[in-house]
Amino acid sequence: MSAHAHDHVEDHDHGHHHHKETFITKYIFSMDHKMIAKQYLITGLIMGFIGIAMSILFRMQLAWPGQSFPIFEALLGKWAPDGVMDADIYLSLVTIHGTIMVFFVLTAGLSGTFSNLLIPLQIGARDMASGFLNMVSYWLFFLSSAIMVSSLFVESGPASAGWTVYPPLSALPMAQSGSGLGMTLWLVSMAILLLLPC
Amino acid sequence: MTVLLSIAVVALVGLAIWQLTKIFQLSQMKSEPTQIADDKDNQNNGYLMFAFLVFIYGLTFFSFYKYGKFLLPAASSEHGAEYDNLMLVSFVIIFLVMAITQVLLHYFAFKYRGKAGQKALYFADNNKLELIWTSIPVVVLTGLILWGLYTWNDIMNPKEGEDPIVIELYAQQFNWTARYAGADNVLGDANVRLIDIDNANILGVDTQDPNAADDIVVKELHLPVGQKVLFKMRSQDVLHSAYMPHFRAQMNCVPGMITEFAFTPTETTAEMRQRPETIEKVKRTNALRAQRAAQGIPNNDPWEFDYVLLCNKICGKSHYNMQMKIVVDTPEDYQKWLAQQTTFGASMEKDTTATTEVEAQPTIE
Repeated sequence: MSAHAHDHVEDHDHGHHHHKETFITKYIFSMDHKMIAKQYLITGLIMGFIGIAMSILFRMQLAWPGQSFPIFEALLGKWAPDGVMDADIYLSLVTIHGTIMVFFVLTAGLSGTFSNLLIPLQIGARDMASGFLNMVSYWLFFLSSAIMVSSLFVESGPASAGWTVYPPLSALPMAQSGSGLGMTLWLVSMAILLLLPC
Repeated sequence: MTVLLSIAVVALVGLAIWQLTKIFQLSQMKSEPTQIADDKDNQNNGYLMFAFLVFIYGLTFFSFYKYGKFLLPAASSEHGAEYDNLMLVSFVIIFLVMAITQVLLHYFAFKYRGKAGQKALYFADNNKLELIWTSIPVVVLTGLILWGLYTWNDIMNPKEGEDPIVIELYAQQFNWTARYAGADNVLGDANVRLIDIDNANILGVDTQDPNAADDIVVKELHLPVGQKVLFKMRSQDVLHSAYMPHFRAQMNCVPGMITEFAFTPTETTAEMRQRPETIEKVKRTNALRAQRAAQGIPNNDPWEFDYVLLCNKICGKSHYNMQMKIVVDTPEDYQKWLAQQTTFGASMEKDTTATTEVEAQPTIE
């Protein structure tokens, strides 16, 4: 009887050790709602910095139309010859700024960070219903952010149809260059982002 | 200027860091740090609520005073007066409700701030109160929506006996073209597939259609005062939006379909230029332009008021500059202007003759 009980304790210990967290499971592919909330917070903050930086750039050009700023040439290269922003990139910055602020800062901040962190704590639950899906959700968000940021570097320029993306302007590359690969990446990024709540 | 701004930004960031450090230090000085708010904290929060109220109303009235002049002038179209009334009444109602509820919200937050020994009262519900705060918004909103709906119907539906001048507005990246229906007041058929740049048929007007011969294609819109104009809008490429702010008119231009909007201008361009607020605006703008011109900045010639047609839907890189001048004339001046224009039929004939001449030349040689 006692040996049996001893076995049971050992079994239990063994099982417990099996769940020991490594750096990867704790900080990267974490299923803990509090860690996922922090991941959202950090990603959202980085996207926020990018979004705000864009808004500063295009508002500088708006405040001083046609004026040359060396920083434009340094950051935007061929899109700002002699430091004066090209009309195409101005529209692109407005578009991507709007998209980032609405979908990548508000989503990350409100649902990603606050809901994830606070709701289980407020209602006294141990975690979200599915920790695994919660983790997948964050990584889809990360992938979607990465694709959106990568669209800034394509040769034909990022999406530039305004954040409402009305076709046919957004659908035809002959209407504007940003409706080529840039818009395709924008759509791929948005499609992945929309998987989050599913 | 940039250097000055950069210095200001750096200085302000520095100031913010210094203030944060100070706040941090102050919070550390407390003998017994506690997370529970005491009477003094509640008192401070109560006063801060009031301070915030003063701040938002201060900002609101400052904005009314300082930036009120940037609003559009009173409407220059018949329906515009009704539109402006609807807008004004909506704004006044929203402003009053907002003002009263915000004062109450902040006052009660102050009045019932936390005090030692004071307990919150649990207030379940009060049907009478709920009935009042539900029915008042219902009545007010229904009134506003119905008024809006009737105004909309009145603006959008043509009335019996009206014989408006028909004008086509044609949008393309990034300019506007207008086509007058001419003496018969019927526009000739048009299709994007009939566009013939070589023969200057930029709107794709059907040359076989007899109604098209007297059409007049122009790049500057002239309208007679006091006469209803019906715009039929087309777009060649992407979505555009024909926006005539002074007439309170806007309608999307959609490729593949014809959209319509009609209005009656009530004031000529000359009359509009004599309005005190227009004179003031022109004076203000030209003072700024003169200042810029003195600094050697180009494109700062003196400005004169004109009505404009703008594009109000992002349509590409030069969307910001897609516009056409509108001139509202007296009926006599309008007729005079119209008589000077070449009809589509005549311009086609001229072109055909020119082409035949060019083609004929080599044979002569």
